[in-house]
Amino acid sequence: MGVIFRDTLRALVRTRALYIWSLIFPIVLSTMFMFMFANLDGERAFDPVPTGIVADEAWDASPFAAVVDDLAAPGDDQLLAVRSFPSAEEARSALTAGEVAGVFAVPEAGAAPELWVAPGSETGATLGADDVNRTILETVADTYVRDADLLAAVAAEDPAALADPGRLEAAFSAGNGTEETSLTHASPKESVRYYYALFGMAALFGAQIAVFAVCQTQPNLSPLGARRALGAVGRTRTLLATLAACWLVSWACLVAAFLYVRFVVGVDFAGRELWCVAGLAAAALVACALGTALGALPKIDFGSKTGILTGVACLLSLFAGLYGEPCMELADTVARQFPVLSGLNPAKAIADMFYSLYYYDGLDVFAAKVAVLGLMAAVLFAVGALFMRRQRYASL
Amino acid sequence: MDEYSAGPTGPARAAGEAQAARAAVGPVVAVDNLVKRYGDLVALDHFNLTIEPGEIFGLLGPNGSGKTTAINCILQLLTYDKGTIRLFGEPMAPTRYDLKRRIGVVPQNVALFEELTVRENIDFFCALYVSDRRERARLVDEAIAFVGLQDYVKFRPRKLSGGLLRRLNIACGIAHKPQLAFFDEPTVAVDPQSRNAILEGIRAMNERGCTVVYTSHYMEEVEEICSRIMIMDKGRSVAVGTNAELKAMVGVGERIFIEVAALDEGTRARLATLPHVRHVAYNEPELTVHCEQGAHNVSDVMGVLAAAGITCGRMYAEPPTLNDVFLEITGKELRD
Repeated sequence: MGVIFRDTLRALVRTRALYIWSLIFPIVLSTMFMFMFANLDGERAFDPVPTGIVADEAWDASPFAAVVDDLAAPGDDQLLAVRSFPSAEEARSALTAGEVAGVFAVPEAGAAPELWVAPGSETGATLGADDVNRTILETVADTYVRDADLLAAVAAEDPAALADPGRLEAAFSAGNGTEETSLTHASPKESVRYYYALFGMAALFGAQIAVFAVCQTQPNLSPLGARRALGAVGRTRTLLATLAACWLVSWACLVAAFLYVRFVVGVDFAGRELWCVAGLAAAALVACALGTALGALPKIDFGSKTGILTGVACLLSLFAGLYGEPCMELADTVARQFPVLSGLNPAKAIADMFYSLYYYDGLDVFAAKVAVLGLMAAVLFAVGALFMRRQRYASL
Repeated sequence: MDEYSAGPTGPARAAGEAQAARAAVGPVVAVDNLVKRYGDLVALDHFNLTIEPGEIFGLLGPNGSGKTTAINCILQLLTYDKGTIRLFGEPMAPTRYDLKRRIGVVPQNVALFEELTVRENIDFFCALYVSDRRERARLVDEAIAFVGLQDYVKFRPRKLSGGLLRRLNIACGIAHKPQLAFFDEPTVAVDPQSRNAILEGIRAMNERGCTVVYTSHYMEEVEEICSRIMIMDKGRSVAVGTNAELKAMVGVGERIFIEVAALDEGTRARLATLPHVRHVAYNEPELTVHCEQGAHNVSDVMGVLAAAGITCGRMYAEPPTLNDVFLEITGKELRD
C-alpha cells in the first residue's frame, strides 16, 4: 500500500498537464484579479471636491477663507480644489455649467459663509458623485458655522477657557458626531470575495487529479487499471493509497496557490493563514471525492470526464460569484432564497469557508463549513464507491 | 535474456521435484464448461481448458475467437455466465489474492506508468505481489537483468524503443516470479532480435518451472516454443494437442516445389489426379504441388514427371506448418 501511495504520488507529481488547472490556473486568474482590483481601487480614490469661491473683499476679510485655504492645501488629505471667481455671477455660471460642485461666498464682512450648490439628484436609490461632493461642502460650511458659534459662546460665557488649549480641544472634538470603527477583526474588503470564490473553482479543477488517478485504477477504464487489478493487493487498499496521493497533490497545489495569493497578490486572510491552509485540506478532500465520483463513471474516457469536470466547475463557480459583481449578486440571491441549494455547491462552500475566517471572530462558523465540506466529500466518495463496487465487469 | 528462476523464493527446482509437484496439484489451469455472453453474442461457448504444470501452452485463434475473453475470465477480470475455473487446484475468485500472487500477466497492450522510470515501474508492479522491500529489490534487479534493461533503468517508457518497451512490459509482469504466466501477444511490433530474446526468456522461465500460457498470431513462434497448442474459434476449442498431433489431425501434407523448364497441360492434369494431391500450380519455372498426408507423395510426383520426360532442376519439399493447420481448421475467410 505504501508503494502504491509513493509511486502514485510520484506519477502525479510528474504529470505536468495536471498542474495547468490545479495550480497555474488559480495563479494566473489571481494575478488578473490583482490588476483588475488595483484599477478598481484607483477609481475609488478620493478626488478633491471642485469648489468655487467668490474672492471679493468680504471673502478676504472672513476667517472662513483661511479654513478653505487649509482644506485646499495640496497633500494626501486635500479635501477641496478651489477655483476663485472675482464675482458672484461668474461663480454661479461655473456652478450652472457643472465646473464646480459648489460655491462658497461671504455676502458681507463679518457674515457667515454661504454655500451655493446645483440641484441634487432626485433618483434617491443611489448616491451620485455630485451628491457626495455637495454633502462634503455642506459639512465644511456647517462645521465652520457651528465651531464659530461655539467659539463665540465660550468667549461670552467663559473667556478664561479660551486660554486653555486643552479645554478648547475637548470642546471642538466633541463636535465630531461619528467615529470610525470596525465590526469585524479584519477590515472588510469587497475584492477578497473574488479570491475566495477563486479557491472554490481551483479546488474543483483540482478534482482532475483524482479523475486521472482513478481512471488508472479501474480495469474498465484503462489497460493500466486492468493490469493493476490483476495484482494481489485488494481494490480498497489500492484506492485508498491512490486517493491519499491525489489528496496530497491537490492540497499542495491549493496551498501553493494560496501562498501566491497571500504573499504575492497580497490578499488579506485576516491573519488566519494557518486555518486557511487547514481549510484547504478540506477543500482538497472534496476535490478528491468529486474526482473519484467522476473518474468512476463507466464508459466515458478521461478526456470526456475532464470536459464534464470543467463544465461543472465553471457552472458551480458562477453560483459562487466568481465572474464579477452581477454573479456575486446572483450568488447572494440564491444563497438567500435557496440556502439549501447554495449549501450544496462545493465552490460556494469553499468560498464561504474563507469568508467565515475573514469576518467572524470565532472559529465556530469555520468549523461548521469544514464539516459541510467533509459531508460533501463523504457523499461523493460514496457515489464513486457505488460505481466501483464491482470486482469484475461484464465487459472491458 | 539472462538466467531467470521461477518461484518467489528464488532457486530453481529440480526436475524431479517439479514432477512430484505436478502430480500433487493436478492441472495448473482447469476451465470447465465456461460460457460467456455479450448480449446475444456467445463469446465463450462451453469452453474447456486444461493446462498441466510445466507446459508452454499456446492459445491460437482468429480475431474474435475468444482467446482474450477466456484469459480475462480466468483472471477474474470478467464475469461469466456459467462454468468453473480452478487454478492450482483451487477455485479462482476475484479476492483469491493467494492465487493471484502466483500468477503473472504480460498484457498485449503495453500498460505502464508513463511518468515512472523503468525501475520504478517494475518495482511498482512487483510490489503488487511482494511486500518485503529487500526481496522486492532483489527481484527487480533480477527482472531488469532478465530482460536486459540494465542500461535503461532511469529511462521513462516514452524514451524506450518498441522492443525495449515490450521487454519492460514483460519485466513488470514476471518480476515477482510467478508460477503461472500469461503472455498475450508479447512480440507484436518488435524486431527479430527482441523477439528472439523474448522467446528465449519465456523458454528460460519455463525451464525453471513456470507454466506459460502464450497467445500469438505468429504461428512460427507458437510452433517453436509451445509444448501444447489449442486452436479456438467462435468461443470453442476446436483442436488441442502437440504440434505434431495437430498436424496429424488435418489432411494437410507437404508442399513440393520443383523447377521445371516447361510443363504441358497433360502432365499437369496427371499430377492433379495423383492420390493425396490437392492442388497443382505452375508459375514458370516453379511447379508447386500441395499434398495431403501420404507416404509416397514426392516419389509419385517425380514419377509422373519422369514418365513425361520432363527434366527437373532444384527440388525441395516443405512439411505442413502450424499456419497450414490453423487455416485448415479455422478457414480462410477474413475475420474482424
